[in-house]
Amino acid sequence: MWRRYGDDLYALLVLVVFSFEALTLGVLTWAFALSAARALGGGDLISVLVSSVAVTALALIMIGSYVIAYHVISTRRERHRRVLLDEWTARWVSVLFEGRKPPRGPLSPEGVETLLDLREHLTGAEGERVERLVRRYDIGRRLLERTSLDETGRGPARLFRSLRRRRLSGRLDALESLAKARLAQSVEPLLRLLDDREPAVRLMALRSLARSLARMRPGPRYDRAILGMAEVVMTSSLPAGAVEEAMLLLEAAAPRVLRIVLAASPTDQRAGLVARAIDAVGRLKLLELAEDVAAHVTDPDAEVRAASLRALGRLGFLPPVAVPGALEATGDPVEFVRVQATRTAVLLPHAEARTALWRGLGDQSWWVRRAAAHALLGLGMEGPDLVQRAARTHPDRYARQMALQVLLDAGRLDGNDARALREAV
Amino acid sequence: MSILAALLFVYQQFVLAYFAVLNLMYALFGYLGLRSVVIYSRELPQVALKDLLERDFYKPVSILVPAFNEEVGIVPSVRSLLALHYPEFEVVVANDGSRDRTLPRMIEAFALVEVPQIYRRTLETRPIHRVFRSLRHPNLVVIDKENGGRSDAMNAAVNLARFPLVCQVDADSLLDAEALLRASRLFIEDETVVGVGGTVRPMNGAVVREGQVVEMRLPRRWIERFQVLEYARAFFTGRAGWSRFGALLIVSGAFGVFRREAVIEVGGYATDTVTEDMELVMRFHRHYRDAGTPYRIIFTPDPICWTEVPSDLTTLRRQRNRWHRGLMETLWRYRRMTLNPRYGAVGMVGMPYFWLFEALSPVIEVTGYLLLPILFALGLAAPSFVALFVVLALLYGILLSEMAVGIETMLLSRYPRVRDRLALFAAAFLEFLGFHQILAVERMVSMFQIRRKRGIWGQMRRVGAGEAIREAVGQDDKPAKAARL
Repeated sequence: MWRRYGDDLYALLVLVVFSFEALTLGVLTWAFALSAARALGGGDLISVLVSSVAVTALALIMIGSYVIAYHVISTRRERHRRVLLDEWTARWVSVLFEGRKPPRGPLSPEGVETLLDLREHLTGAEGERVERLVRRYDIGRRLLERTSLDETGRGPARLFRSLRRRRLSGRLDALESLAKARLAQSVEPLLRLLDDREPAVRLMALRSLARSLARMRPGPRYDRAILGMAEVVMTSSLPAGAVEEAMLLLEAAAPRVLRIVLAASPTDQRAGLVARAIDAVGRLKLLELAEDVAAHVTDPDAEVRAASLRALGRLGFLPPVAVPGALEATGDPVEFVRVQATRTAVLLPHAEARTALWRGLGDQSWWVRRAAAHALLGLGMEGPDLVQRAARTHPDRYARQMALQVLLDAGRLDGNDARALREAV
Repeated sequence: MSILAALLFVYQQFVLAYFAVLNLMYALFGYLGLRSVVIYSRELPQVALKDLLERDFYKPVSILVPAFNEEVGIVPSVRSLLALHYPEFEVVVANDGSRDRTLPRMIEAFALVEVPQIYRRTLETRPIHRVFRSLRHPNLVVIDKENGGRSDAMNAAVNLARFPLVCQVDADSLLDAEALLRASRLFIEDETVVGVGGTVRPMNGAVVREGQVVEMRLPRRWIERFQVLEYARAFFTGRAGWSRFGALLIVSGAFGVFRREAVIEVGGYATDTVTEDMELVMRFHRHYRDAGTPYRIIFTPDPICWTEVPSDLTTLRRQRNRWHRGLMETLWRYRRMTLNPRYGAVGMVGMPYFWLFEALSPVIEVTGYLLLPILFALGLAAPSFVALFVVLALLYGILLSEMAVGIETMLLSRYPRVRDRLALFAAAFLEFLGFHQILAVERMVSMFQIRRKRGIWGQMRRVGAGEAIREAVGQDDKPAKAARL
């Protein structure tokens, strides 16, 4: 969507212009006030005004020139870059698939970018060869250097490095590249970046960390990283949605991290994150964690109860230990818990499911009625018949209407049936 | 005479201070807008979008399209919405008692059939006559209802919406392919977000293919070019800056995404205003601040919506008249929030700014224009002083436009030709030689029409950019050439 170069320079230019203009306007206002008090002569006031016009014109020339120059340079640069990217892609393809010798390092930015893109898209044996190439060129270390705020060296060189590393855009770009590189060596430094004072850096570091952990091989470092990630999930100051996004990126590492999170005491966790962890179990279809999720079906927190029921629904499996809780939840005082419980009720033993869903059709909440009608329709072979019966004979008028609507939506009625049933309802 | 002179002089001082503060605020917002672009452009790269989609980590969206006499553009517009890249969404078009062929055109184009529909009437609306579904697009719902105005149509669409997020879109607008994905991601990331506004850009002159803007071209008419600058200033600098302050008071009616439950919680769109977009946002602020519930309403420069801007002065004046009346009405309705610390940055910064620098700006601007010759005639200001002051004001206006244009240049879909860039530079200059003043007068006049024109929108003349382009593409193998408007 956006060009990612020159924006820092432009921001700096705008800041300089803003500062000059603030100064100019301040002086101008002061000069007017002095003139009003007859402390400044008309000629002096005109001089101040002329200076203001000159400064503003200069600012306009600077901004205008930058915009035109940026336009022209960026157009040429992008054309040239496209050619370079094509060349590098062809070179890497010949290295990977035709056995050509890899080029000498260090790589140009386009060389790194195309290699990381291949890392993102290739899996299996080719993916491992790309990973070896990424390690061979020491790309991870270079990227980590760009994300770090560590200041080494002395004198002007240190100052220059420090300023470069403090550039937010550069750090974010490096973190994005690390997310593509998915290197084991970056896990520990990324964990440290989760305390950065800049929220955008923390967010990008968390994403990169999760993606890197997903491809890490088992071993003591892996175990340490798993514990570190679980700690982050439980205590992160980032928004809960961002943390869940990271949990979903964990892939093979997800079950271990999530098991630790679900087993932890509620006092060790930030509110809202347990529900997100349970949600992640459902989305990732981690059947091996169904029992861990089931333990939360009767949680005192309504969000957690609803998330557990939703996750079990997604898993399509209700462990026996969760059956009483899930059944009880169909009568939960909180509406959104009842909705989730009603949707999950199809996983209850058949007789209980029928009873609960029939009752749910007459619930005071429109959403529960709808969930009940949909769930009843999906209740095995007899589901459609049950909904037909509900549309005709359910004692609650709104239940009958909902059943009719769900039958119509599902295309279970032809024109004549629909008309007859609508009249009956 | 001396009292008059003293008064004029004091007013002159006030105008100068006003001018200084206003321009500094704009410049500050320009900087803040740029900073937000630096962060947003990197925070959600393509790889992260791919991750979200692969893991089904999104919230389904109902796109709400109110339509009244939109026969010219409704079909291409809905078609473009149906072609969006988003895994789960529905389009709910509310035909608000159109007197033209809006509904028949949709029935024909999308093979609509009437269906019985039971829905939860959470928000009160004018009666719904019929509900249609498409045989070709399962995610298209069309409501045919009694005329009740844009807000009433939106409320009817909210009632029928099935998904947790609702996206308001004008019937003459096009959304960028990734707009929904980028906007909805903010709701997933942070549960306190209740509304997200995106950037709106003029579509006039652009080449549209299959519902997407594929090539940017600067419109031919200067009146449209001036609006390109106005939109750039408003979105890339103003709203981005307010969002950073946590005091965003407007999410454009052309494109905004909200939590459906939040819209219902505050009572839906107000039907007694002509700027329901701002009114809704103000109601969110009041409601959540009163309740002490954490919430966020944010602007993000990434999701982009293209809209057709007026191409003639009469329509533009009507539009600005309505916008200004709506602004005044809304500010007046929520006047108790002004300078009230309970409402945080909204009450202490946003509201006073909007009163002083948006609502009253036409009065101060127009009286400023009138005052200069009076001061000159009375011998209270030297000709050189008057001339220099006018030049300074002009340069400031151009400078602020150029700052916004500088941000636009960083967009991938920018005006590609250097010629266009130079034309925009010229437009920034020409805008202040009449166009800006005409609109200032119109806005000032609108302040005296608030009571008389309450609820009146004024007829908007549509060229129907989308359809004209689509037809041109159908007839010609060189769409880029043929489709120019």
